[in-house]
Amino acid sequence: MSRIKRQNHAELNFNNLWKGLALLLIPAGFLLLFFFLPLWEIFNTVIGEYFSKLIINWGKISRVFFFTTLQALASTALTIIAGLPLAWIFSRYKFAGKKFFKSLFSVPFILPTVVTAAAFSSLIGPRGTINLWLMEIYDLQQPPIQLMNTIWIILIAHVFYNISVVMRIVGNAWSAIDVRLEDAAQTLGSTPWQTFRSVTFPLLKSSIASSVLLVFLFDFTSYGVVLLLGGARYRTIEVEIAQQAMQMFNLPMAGLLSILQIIVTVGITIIENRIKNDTKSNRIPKTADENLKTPQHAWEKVAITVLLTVTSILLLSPLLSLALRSFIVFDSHSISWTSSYYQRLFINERSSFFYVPPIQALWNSLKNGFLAAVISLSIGMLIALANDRFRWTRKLNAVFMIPVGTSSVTLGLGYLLFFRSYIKHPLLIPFAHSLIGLPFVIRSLGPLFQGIPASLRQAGAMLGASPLKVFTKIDLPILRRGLINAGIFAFTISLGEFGATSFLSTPDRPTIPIAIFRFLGQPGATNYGQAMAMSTILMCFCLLGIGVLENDFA
Amino acid sequence: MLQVKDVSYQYEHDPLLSDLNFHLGDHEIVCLLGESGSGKSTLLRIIAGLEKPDKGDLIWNGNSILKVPPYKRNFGLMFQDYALFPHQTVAENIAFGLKMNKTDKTRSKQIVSDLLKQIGMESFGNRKVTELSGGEQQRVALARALAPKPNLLMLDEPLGALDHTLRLTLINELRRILGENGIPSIYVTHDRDEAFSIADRVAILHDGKIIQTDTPELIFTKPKSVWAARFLGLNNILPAVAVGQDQVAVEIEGMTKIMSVSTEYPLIDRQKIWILFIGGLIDSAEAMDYQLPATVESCVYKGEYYDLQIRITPGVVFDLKAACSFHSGSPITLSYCRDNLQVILV
Repeated sequence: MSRIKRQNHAELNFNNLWKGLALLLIPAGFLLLFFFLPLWEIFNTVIGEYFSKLIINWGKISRVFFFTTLQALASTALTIIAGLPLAWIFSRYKFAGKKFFKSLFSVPFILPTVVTAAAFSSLIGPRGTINLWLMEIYDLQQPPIQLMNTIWIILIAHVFYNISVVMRIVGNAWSAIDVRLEDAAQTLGSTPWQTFRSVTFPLLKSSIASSVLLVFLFDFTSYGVVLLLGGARYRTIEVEIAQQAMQMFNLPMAGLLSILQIIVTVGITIIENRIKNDTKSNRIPKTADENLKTPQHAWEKVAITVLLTVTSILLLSPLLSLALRSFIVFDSHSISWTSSYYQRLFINERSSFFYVPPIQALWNSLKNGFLAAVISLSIGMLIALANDRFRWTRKLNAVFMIPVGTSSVTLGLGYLLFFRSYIKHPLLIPFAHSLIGLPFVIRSLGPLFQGIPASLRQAGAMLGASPLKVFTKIDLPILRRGLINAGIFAFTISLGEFGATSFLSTPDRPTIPIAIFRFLGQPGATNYGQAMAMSTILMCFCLLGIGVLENDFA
Repeated sequence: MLQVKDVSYQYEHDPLLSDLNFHLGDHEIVCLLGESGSGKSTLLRIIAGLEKPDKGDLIWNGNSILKVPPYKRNFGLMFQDYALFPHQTVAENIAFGLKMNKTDKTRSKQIVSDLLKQIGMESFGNRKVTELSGGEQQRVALARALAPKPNLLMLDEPLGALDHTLRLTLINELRRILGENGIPSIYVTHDRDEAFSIADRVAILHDGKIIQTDTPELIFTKPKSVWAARFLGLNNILPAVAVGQDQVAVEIEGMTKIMSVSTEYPLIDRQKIWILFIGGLIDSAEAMDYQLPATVESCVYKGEYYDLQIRITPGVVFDLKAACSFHSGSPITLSYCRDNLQVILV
């Protein structure tokens, strides 16, 4: 059977070539129009301006570049330090509620950046719960905790965001290391520390490197968090690109920064891919539970309890505080409860900076999310189908995965330069969102398709089903659940997308993240409260999405 | 000398070992024989210090070592699937223990090359362990365990993952290497032949206890329980009732046969026991003590002999090896001397 399959699919004959190409025609066109051409336009603009009249402020560029790099390095280091112990306990021990904690710790990673920023602001910002509480108790006039617009709040938020990346990547590699290797080392006279240094660490190295690079990449391209928490003093390349493009209208400068950004992200993605191939070759297959033990020594129990408690507090307190803060009104001395922030979302106020009731942003986001999910799924299906039926097309997959490392602000800038007067077209937002979601959809659909045994389709064909019938009657029903999951994922990404959207949205058509951003940028307790209310709503939608996904995986 | 005293161990609330006692003399190789899941590997892990017993003590040369961490015990353990370090070469794997006890480099190199020679893999020092075959990995794992000259060597089903022919070659090689190094060893296996070909003594582990420890010959000719006998492949057993101090009554096809047996202790009247029939001749011309009428159920050609299934009485079938073939259904007579009969009490 395998010989026949090879004849049908692997051999690159003319028939296979054009059928595969036909399937990839729409995806390729989509990517060209909504990704490559806009990006090319950035290069085009910069090169064009460079040879004519551009004066580049290299000092500013290098300042921004160094700050971006340094904060990313510091954030990454902290994230690794916080994440490694978690990876250790999750890959080596059994304890009560393990599954729950694992899902819980993964929540921050899929939260939109504006929600994270709002959550931290609600916890330790000047108008945050802790400060309000302290001010009420001690009757202070000024908020005692001043972390807003400091580097610290940025670092904490980045750790919050990426701790689960380290936990998952290193944890997976760690649980794949046969615990008997460590046992063997011990019987050969090596102390626990020597065992970690000479056996465990060398085997973990590539996964640690891989997570370092990924976390660095996320921190390096961080936009919403830095923009909202860092204030005017702290700007990453992302923030600077957006400022240059949208406030100074200095498009060549923004473009130059984008090119710098692209070089770094592409470089890191390439290195990361190299490392990943490395990891596979020294992984030892084994059965699931064997490496897990119940904690025996007192110090093990203490370590696990402390780690879980501290991490839970770090990760949960901003989220709980966000929900709490959206119901609190503070009149310079005392705290009381209110639901007015939510009620006001339905009112189109005259003095408002919106042209519509704020709740309209929710409908806009839901519409965009639905469209983006449909587009991502359709394009992703065509690619996955081509990959499955015509093996040679897998070689082209790297091309479709390129958007994964590209920053959304750069994408937004590309759209601004490429679509020019069409930039306010309402469909551009869902297109941009679907492009950002596409790599994730491809990644989850690919294995699903390959999981269907070829014999099922051959049996269908033997019973008289045409290729189209095989697809609709065999593939689709089997894939249904996976498709829904991929769709929810794309939908959630779209709901929270902020970077590209900030270039594309118009005042009368805000999305939720844009609305939150605008509320946060305005003075006044009511605006702040409404930002909290909107963030809470967005957070709930995202949690709902994750809940459906995690439930299905379990 | 190692003593395992009253060791109990529970695995997820199921008792795996209960009040287990066991000892190992200097220069002795003991095979721990038991079914899979009987707790053999766990006992090794307890002795190695990788697992803590719930109860009991471990005595090494008179001192309790229960609180000594595994890396200070200097006991070698060869793991079932070898657990070779995938990021190290063959030589680095073997040298690992030497590095840990800070043997100096030149001495360490010498030991590694000696061991490589001993296992017949002189040219393999710089190979990656992931490129080795199963048999080669097994030898490297043995060399690695031997390198730091452990006070005690434990081997956990060392031939378990290998195919039959390879096992036959390697078992002899293992016996030679263990002999040359003179380290007291505990060898865990579920395979009777493997145990017999390597052990000074065999210990059978069943229901969390060592139920019998003896030389291979004694364990095979005088199993102490029906379970042990059947586990060793001795299936020719009939229930009997004592009718005197050395007389038993056996019921065959409704007829009662009285047989006299030799026992260590006198039997009690009416005591229910089992008789293990060892050997036996088919349709013998010689006069023997007892004759059992029987029917051949099946006869399978096995190369050097025929394997006969012989029906003695409803529900009881004996295995016998015969030099020539029989038709199934043909009536035969089995003959035994008094010495072929072995009393099993439980």
